[in-house]
Amino acid sequence: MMNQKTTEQTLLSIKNLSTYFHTPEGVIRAVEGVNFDILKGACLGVLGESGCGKSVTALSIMQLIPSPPGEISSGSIQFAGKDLLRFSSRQMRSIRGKEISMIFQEPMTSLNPVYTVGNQIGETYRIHEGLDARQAKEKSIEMLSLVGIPSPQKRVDEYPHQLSGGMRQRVMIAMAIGCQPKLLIADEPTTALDVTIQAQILDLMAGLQEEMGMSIMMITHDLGVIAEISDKVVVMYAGQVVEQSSIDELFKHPLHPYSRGLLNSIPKLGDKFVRGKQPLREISGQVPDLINLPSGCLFASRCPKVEKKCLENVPQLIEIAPGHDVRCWLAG
Amino acid sequence: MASKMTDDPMLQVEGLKMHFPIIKGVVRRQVGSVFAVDGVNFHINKGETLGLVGESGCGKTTVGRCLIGLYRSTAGSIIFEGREVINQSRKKMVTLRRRMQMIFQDPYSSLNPRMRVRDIIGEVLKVHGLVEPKNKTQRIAELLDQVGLKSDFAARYPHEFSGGQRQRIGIARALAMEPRILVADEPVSALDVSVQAQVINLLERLKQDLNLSMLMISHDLSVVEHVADRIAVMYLGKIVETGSDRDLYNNPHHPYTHALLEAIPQPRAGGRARRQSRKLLGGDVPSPIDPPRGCYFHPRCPRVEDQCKRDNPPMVEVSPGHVVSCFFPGKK
Repeated sequence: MMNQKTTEQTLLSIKNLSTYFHTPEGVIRAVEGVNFDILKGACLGVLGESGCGKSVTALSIMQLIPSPPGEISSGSIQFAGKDLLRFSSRQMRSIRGKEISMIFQEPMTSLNPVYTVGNQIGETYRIHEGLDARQAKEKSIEMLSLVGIPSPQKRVDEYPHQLSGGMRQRVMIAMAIGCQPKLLIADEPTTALDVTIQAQILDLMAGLQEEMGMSIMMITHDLGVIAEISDKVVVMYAGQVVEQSSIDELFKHPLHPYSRGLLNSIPKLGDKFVRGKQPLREISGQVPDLINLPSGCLFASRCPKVEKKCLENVPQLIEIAPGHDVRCWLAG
Repeated sequence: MASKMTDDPMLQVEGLKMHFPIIKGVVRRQVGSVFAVDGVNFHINKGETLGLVGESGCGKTTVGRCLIGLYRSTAGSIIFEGREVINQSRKKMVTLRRRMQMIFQDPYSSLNPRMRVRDIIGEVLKVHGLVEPKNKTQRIAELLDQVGLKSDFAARYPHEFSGGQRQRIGIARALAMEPRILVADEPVSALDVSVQAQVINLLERLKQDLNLSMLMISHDLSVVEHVADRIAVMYLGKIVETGSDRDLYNNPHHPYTHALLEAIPQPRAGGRARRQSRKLLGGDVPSPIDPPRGCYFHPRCPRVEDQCKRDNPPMVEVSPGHVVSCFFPGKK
């Protein structure tokens, strides 16, 4: 199962991943032919709006796609040289929470309200490292203080409802990094939080990434969050990767019209005083229906530069500049 | 607050308080209060947009709801077009509300799913007797056109629309009343990034065309700064700083405004370096049930001195129209 092409530095390599959902209305092509790599110790940002397939990609890696109706219909997910898609569900259980962990957007709904936080953090240790209850609690207290929760000895016996939103997200992170995973998948981890708390959580994650040499896959729709934490970025639209580059390159030279549209459509602090007040540049129209995808480029109906070619043929993701891939007929 | 801007206030709010009782036990005794809004002053001039910004739980939504009379305020006065609004009889409120309309945050829960668009808007026209029945269809078509929807959408139900389109319907419903002032409570935060710009631009255009005043309530300082002429920053039920958009951005005097500006992740290249260099605001927002003594911000404030823990800071006018509630305004 070893893949020759997997280099030393690559931790996760997704090749041609497609995940479909079979519904009475038709097949939803949530993820279609997605390719990307995550390097060891690096942070990859996955940027996209709701329905673009970013969360489904993450759930595919974890193999948490509900089946039926969901199905990973093709592709491979190489993690540390092994194809996760060939793993049995038992093998996958030994990976989840130990090698790959995930944190979710809504810390209140992802924590169990009837168990103490200590119990929930300790579960990872009891399952993956065979610790007994007392040892697991000791470890939990250690983790709580690592993620910056004040008086962890007291907090460890509290229930999720007794904590603030920021603290709950810290507990989620403590749970996720307990076994020092190689990869942390964070699905909109700060979206439900206030900006001052968001800043604390981003710092915490970046700090842990450095200290533990962990890789992060940061899923978000927030361009600011992506800019502050990731090294590389993948832009997704309607289930496909449309652009892929280093983070600074994306902000300096966005090539796909969708990426450009996103960057231009959000108000930026202070811009008004530099350039004078101008209306925001909108992306017209809406995301296409994933059941009835148009032929040709999926962004064509909203693209300001659309040509005949775009409506007829599907563009491929091609490397335009070193390390900068774009799926657009008109790029370059 | 002597400044040239108070010449023509459309809306003048003084000492507004909204305390929600906490009732417990079989005898339904009041055991405490949530000090959601605790003495707020501001005004909005004709044709002006005031941005009200703050983190969750700071009371900004409650202020909006007090304005349009959805809550019976505990104390204070709200003078709208020269008349007192607070705690008027139902009958009087009906006429007052016509001139003051609200746009809600969640376009999914603020439209009745069992009513067609023409009934959602038509109900407003009928209840207030705004048009002759024979002209109703015409007027609904006009309103839909004004918010950029096709007139044949009138026969559809809310579930047939996307989030952005629903928000447009909510705006059309508000406009049906021919209001003088719009209270927009997080009008874009439930929408996708690429759709937010459409709705922000629409609100801006309508405000211009109809010469409306607006209160824009949001947690997103980038959005507020883009649309607002003046900005008020709220923290734990109080306004801590008010000033022109430019004053607040270039010359913030309250440490909380400072921290908010610092904490907002910027969608620009070099984000990692920016994150690493910024000073973080520690801690969480205290509970509005038991606010701290003295300045409410002192437990998190980097400038805190003994006086802040004892006394309530006064409102200080640091320059015309720029008011700060801090003992040590501007000091970095």
